[in-house]
Order: sequence, then C-alpha cells, then structure tokens
Amino acid sequence: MNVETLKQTQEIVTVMTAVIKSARLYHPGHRSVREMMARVNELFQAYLQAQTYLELEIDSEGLKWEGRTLLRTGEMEVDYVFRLYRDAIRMATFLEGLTAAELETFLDLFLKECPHDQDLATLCWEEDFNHIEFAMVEAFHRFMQQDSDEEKKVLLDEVENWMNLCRSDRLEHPAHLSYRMEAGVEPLPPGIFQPLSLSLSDALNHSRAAAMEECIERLLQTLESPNPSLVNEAARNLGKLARIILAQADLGQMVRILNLLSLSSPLDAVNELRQQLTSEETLERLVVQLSQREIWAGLEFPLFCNCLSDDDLAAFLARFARRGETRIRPLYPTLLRFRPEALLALGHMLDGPEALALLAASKDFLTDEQYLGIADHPHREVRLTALRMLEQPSDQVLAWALEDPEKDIRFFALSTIGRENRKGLLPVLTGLIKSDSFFDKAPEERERWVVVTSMVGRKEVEDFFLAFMEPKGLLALPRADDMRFLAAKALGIIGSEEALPLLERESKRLTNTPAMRQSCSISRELIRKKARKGRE
Amino acid sequence: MSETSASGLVTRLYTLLRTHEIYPEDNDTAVRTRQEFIAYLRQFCEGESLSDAVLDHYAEHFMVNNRLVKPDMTSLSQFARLSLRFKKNFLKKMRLEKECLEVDLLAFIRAFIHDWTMVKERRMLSWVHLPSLKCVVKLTEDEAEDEARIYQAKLSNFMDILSKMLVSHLRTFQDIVDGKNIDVLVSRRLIQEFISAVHEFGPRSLGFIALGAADPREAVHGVLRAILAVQFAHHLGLDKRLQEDLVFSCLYGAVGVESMPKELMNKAGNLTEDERRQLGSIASRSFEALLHLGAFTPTIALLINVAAALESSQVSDHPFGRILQVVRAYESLVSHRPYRLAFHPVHAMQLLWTDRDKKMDGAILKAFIAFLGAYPPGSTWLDKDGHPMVVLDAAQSALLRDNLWHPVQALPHKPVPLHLFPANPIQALVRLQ
Repeated sequence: MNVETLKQTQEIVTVMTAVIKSARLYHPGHRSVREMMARVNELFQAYLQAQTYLELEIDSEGLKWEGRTLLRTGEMEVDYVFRLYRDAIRMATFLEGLTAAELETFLDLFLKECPHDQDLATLCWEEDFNHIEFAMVEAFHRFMQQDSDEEKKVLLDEVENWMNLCRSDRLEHPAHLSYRMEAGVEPLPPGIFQPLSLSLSDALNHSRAAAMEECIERLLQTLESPNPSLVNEAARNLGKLARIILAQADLGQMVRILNLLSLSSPLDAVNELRQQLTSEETLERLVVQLSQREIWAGLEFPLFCNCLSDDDLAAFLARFARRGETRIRPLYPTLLRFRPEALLALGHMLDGPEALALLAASKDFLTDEQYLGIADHPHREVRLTALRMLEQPSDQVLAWALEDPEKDIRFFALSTIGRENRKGLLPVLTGLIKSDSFFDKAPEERERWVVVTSMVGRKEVEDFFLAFMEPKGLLALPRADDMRFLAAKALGIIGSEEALPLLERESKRLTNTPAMRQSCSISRELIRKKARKGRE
Repeated sequence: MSETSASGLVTRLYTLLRTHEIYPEDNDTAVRTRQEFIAYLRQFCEGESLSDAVLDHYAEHFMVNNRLVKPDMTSLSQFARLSLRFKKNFLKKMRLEKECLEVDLLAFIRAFIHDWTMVKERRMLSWVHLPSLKCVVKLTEDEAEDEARIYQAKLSNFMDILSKMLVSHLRTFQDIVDGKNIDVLVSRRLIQEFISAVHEFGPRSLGFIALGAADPREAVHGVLRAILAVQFAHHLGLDKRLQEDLVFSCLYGAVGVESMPKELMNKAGNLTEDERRQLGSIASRSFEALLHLGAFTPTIALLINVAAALESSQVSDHPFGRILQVVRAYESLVSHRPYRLAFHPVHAMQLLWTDRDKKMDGAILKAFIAFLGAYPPGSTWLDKDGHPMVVLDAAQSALLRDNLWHPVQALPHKPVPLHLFPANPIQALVRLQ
C-alpha cells in the first residue's frame, strides 16, 4: 500500500465528512461550506488524475479503502456512512472525469431527508451519475431477506421456472378459442411508421408535481358523492391516508392536506380529519418523530406552524423545547415575525435557557407588548434579558419592571427611568415612596428610588420631599428619620434654593441624628454650589 | 474441498489477484493462494464436466461458461472490485484450462497487476502468451467486439431480472389485493433494476411479452406492460423518474380491478346498471389497496390518480393515463383472453388504430405505432420460403431452420399469430446462433 496514496485518500474522506457535517450545521450555501466543497473537489480531481479511480468500500464497520478503515460508523458525524450501508450500498467508485457538479449532487443526497418511498440507493440510481458507480445489494436479496431458507428456495425455484419457460419449446395457448378479426378494422395508413416525436415530459412532470393535491382533492370530492357506499369508502380511505401521513411525519404533506381541508366543512369526515391532524396526540407524535430525524425539517416546518392556532403552535413548540430539541431555535425569528402571539405564549411555557434562546432570536423583533407577555416569567434571567433587549421600553414596561420581585430588574428599571428622565413615571415613583411597602425595600434600594425620583421630578417633587422633612408631614410613617434623611438627600439633588433655610436649620438641629445633620449639610452645600454656578 | 460454484470461481479469482497486489509472489500466502485457486479451478471444471472454464465480462456482468453469475450479499464488493479491474485492464474474456499451469497463472497475475498499476505503460495482457490461460483484451474501439459475448451477458441479465420481477411482483401484487402492507422501497429498487435491465437489453426485450400471453394473472401482465412502457418511454425521451412512475402504474394500476369478480371483468357483452355501478367503485378500491404501500408520496399519489383515470373507458385526461391506456390496450390485444386468442401485433395495431380517438389519445397512439414499427420486435412471421421467423429488432430477425435460430436481415413475409407459430418465439432470442 502506498503511504502517500493512503494519506490522500484519508484527506479526501476527512474533508468530505467535514462538508457534510458543516452543511448540516449551517446551510449548504454558507461560505465555509462552499470553501470546503471546493477543497474536496480539488482533492478528488488531483487524486483521480493520478490514480484514475477511487474505490471506497462500505461495510458494517465503516468506510474502507484497500481494506483499511478510514471512518468508523457509530459516530453521529459519520452517520452518512451508516446510511449508505443501511441502504444496501457496499461500494462507491469515483472515476476520472468526476465533475464538481456530480460531486456536489452526491453529497447533497446526505443533506436531505429521503422521501418515504426512497433511500440513498434509489436516489443514486435516479441521479444517474456518469462518474460514480455503486455496488448495491441486489433488490431480490432484500425481497427475500425476511424469508426462511425454505421459502427462499421456493422463490428461487420459481425464478428458475420462468427462465425455463423462456427456453421451452412451445408456449401454451387456450385450445378451444378462435382467432378472428372484427369487421370494419381499418388498415394502418401509409406513413404511420414514420418517426414521430412527442413532447410529453413537461405534462408528465407537472402531473407528478400536482399528484398529491389532486389525489386528496378527488378523495374529498368523492365524499360529496350521492352514492353512499362511495362516500363511506372515501371516508375510510381518508382516515387511512391520514394515518399514513401522520406516520410519515411529513410536514409538507400535512400542510397540503390541511390547506385542502376547509376550516368549517359540512362534512363530518373532513372536520374530524382536520381535528385529528392538529390534535394534541398528533402534535406530540410529530414532535417525537421530527426530533429523531437526522435532518431537520426544512421549509415545511414554518408552513405547518401556520396551520395551527396560536395556542396549539405554542404548545407544539414547547414540546420540542422540553425535549431539548435545539434545532428549533433558528426558526424562532421567522415564527416571531409572523406569529408573535404564539411566540409570546411559548415564552411562558419555556424554561430559562430555552426562553433565553427565544429572546435571543427575538432580538430584532421584541416589542413592549411582547415583553409584558413574558414579564412574569419565572426565570429571572429571562425577564432581565428581555428588559435589556428593549431599545426604548415604554413607561408601562418600566412600571411593570419596578414591581418585579427581582432587585436587579427593579434597579435596571430605575436606572433607565433616571437616564431617560421619564417624567410619566413620577406618580408611580412617588406613590411607592408614600406607601407602607417602601420600607420593605432594602436601604440601598430606597435610596436609589428617592435619588431617581428627585432627578426626574426636580421642582415637581420638591414639595413632596419637603413634606417629609416636617414632622407633621410624616403622618403615621414608621421610619420617620430614615425618610427625613432620604428627603434631605432628595432636596440636594433637586437643587432648589427655597429649601436652603430648612436644610440650614436641620443641619444644626441637635435632635437630629448625626447622619441626618450631615445629609442636610451636604444637600445645603450642593444647592449653594449649584446656585453659584448658576450665577456664574 | 467443499462444493464449487461459478460465483466461487469469480471471488477466488479476485482473492488471487488481490493477494498478489499485497504480498510478493514468493510469499507463503501468495503461493498458497495460487495453489488453492488451481485446485478450485480443477474441481469446478470436473463438476461442470468441461475441460476449461470461460469467464466473460461485460459492463458489470460476469458470465462463467455462458451463464450469468451474480454475487450474493457477502461477495458483492469482490465482484465489484474485480469488475473494475477487468474494465481498467480492458480484459473481456479469460479461458482457463482445467489443468492450468502455475507458471501461466503467475505470468497472468504479473501482467494483470502490471496493467492495473502501471496505467501509462504498455499493456502486457494483450501480448503475453500463456498456453493454459488465454485472455481476450480489447484496447481500442477499432478492435472488433465479441458481439455474441455481449449479447449473452445482456440477455442473461435481462432474463434473470425479468424472472425475479415476475416472482416478486406476483407476491407483492397479491399481498396488496389481500390488504397486506408491502415494502414500497424494495418494490422501487426492483423496478429500478428492471428498468436498467430493459434498457440494457434494448428493443429485443419486447420479444418477451409473449412469455405471459396465456397467463391469466393480472400481475404477470403488469410486468409485461412494464417492458412495453419502459421501451416506449425511452423512445419518447422520458427521464428515469418518469419511467419509474410509469412502471409503478403498470404494476399496481389494476389492483382495484383484482377486487372485482372475475366473471364481471371478463364479461364480453353489455353490462347491466348494477354491474356498471360495481365497476364504478374500482377507483375507490384501488385507492384503498394502494394505501397498503404504506407511504403517501408523489409516486404513490400519482399511482392512485392513474388507477382512477384508467377505470374510465373514456380517453383519459391524465397525461400518464393516456400513455398507459395505449400500452394496456396493446398488451391486452397481444395476449390470450378467456374469450379469444391473442392477436398478431400487426392486427393489434390495426384494431387500436380503428378505435383511435374513441378510447385513447390519437397522437400517443400514432407515436406508439411508430415506435413498434411495421415489424414489432417479438412478432412472429413466415419468410418467403415458409420458414418461421421472429423479428428481434429493427435491424435483425431470427429464422428457424434445422431446429436452429439464425440471425438474418431479410424482411418477414406473412404474419403468423402466436397460437399458430410452430415454436416458442422467445427461443429465437435465447438460442440465437
């Protein structure tokens, strides 16, 4: 074995595997995938020019070259090898002349889910590669696979019988019948054997493309037949068809059939089918089957989601998330754009990490209304992240956030209010200061609250805080000194010279605590400084 | 040594060559492999009561002593690898004498491996002279091809695949009629192999339609219609996917019919209202039966639609239905029915032509008749001297003389219906000199 050739072969297989893996992670048109594709093509061209062929054997252990295993099956990223083996392909031989287009078509086969009546072997046959040959287990072997040795012998004997019939001396015919041409049979006209070309491909391909809709439509029409036995048969067939479609978990078909079933049909069979196709049981089964797929559902997924109500859609998506199915995440932006209500409902159903993923996907789309929809999410990080994501949270959002049980969120809201000077929230701010629950907050928070209120309110809240300075203004407040301390601070921030006499007095009053006297003193100096600055 | 087989000979030949690719020729393993091969060859020839073994290779096919040899599941890779090596070495045929000399065998191995590995150097296999082992190598397109060898390979493969298709489809068709689920994937693979074999054998495959002329089973006629459909579709330039769909329709399009009482389906006269109503539910029965294919895909949906379209006695408005109406009608006319004998293909074309536009698409019928030609492949005739003659294809016929079938280019003279033909016309294909 030539060591250099082995290295080259290994490199080809490694890059080919990387192409398949990357194309699944990103998408086939992604720049890195295209670059790897170009690289693997380059490697193939160089190799085939020198060696004229590359023979890769596939067995239960993996992918082999000259008897040496290059890739072992059993690892997710090389599952394409397992698929080749499972689908009865035992050898792939790449020949000199292999084109980039052929190679890409071949690798593309691993990126798509096979139709339910196909596998890699049948797809390779249909592609009709000029420079890739396959050795496949003969179909008749697979046909006989489940049979006992005795049954196999019977089948093989029958095959032999047909071959012998081909070789027999005479073919039998019914002895008692006659041969007669009917009267009036026309002779074939002259020129009829001239070659005649007909273009039928387009019509046939179109017919094929429309076959499924046509089939279902015809079935639905039969349901309206005046013949009761035909109606019964059609209803029975519709039920069977539904079961097949569900078993296939083929979202494309389900979308087709749901689009054809009117939302309120006079026919019970139609309504029952529609219900069946969107029932909880169906959706749960779909979730299980789709999650098990190697290749994630493509465009059909959002189309199918469109057929569900908001609540059903939210429940459907939540099921995926609970199973840890992360492949659903790239779909969130699309779904959020077109089905915001459903996604809101979904946000509530998701746990922390998944809700964060939903939020991350919602980055460009999250609105205030949507935030409010998840503002009571049990996970702190979700609420905080959502709040941070809003570019311009409304007063309503900030008011809600101020009541959040989580301190970080309340602080964030306060910072935003202060930074953006949200005067509309003054009643909320002052309302809480006046309430009994203000002293349920930690001192640090109470201070922040007052600071923000005074920064935003300024002159408007001067009288409010002045009232706290006077004992009679406190009414029945339990923490009079604390409040007076905070009020003094607030007055300093507000900066009104009208508060100076009060602050001067309180800074010297011996019945005040040292902290209170200091607070008044600082605030007094702040106001004087501001006044001086104003005069300058 | 255990029993030998043609398949075993092929795999041992591969093992022999492969061993010498890896080990030096004086290595114990290599020496032992040569000796085992020679012993196996001797035993094989004794079992065949022959003095030599002839190995032919064409496309992916191996023939040993004129019999097609196919790999089983364990020897598939070896066959494929040996096939590639034969192709790359332009090796078409080997004749190995029963008492093959080791010195000749070794010379062959050296030449083979040289040609296999030194692709840019002068070929050795084409000039090495080995008394007990002869090779036929065709290096250029100018060299004459052994047409007989190629024909035999194609014929053997076609007969093998056709027979397996008949056996498997009889089972599958009955399973569907009985309401059992079938593996549609295996069906598709069988169909694909069938299409490949029909293409490879070419228009002469139409000569096998007579095989089921007297068989009353719908499944058999489905397979024979499929031969017609593939060749016609190929003639029309339809791609492989469309050909597959046509074959699916040929094979399974009549499952609904099978659920109908035989007396009703074979009734020659006018139908009563009740009988007409019964026939009207064929489409529904087809639908139900075809759902046992267990999948709903474009192919299956198309099949269901075509089955419904064919139920009507009117000209179908379904594109696939229009083609299949013509194919079905022709195959039915050239088969024996319970109430009449098979028509000669020329008479069948006349009958179809008379009913054009009433029961089938006139344009497609014209194209079909042009495709079959004035002398359809497989049709039975007498020549000017009264000798039985079978048309093989547009270029050649086979004449029966002295109990042997001889290829000729003379035109047939008088049509002879199948039941009057003095021989099995398929023999003309199978025993062509």
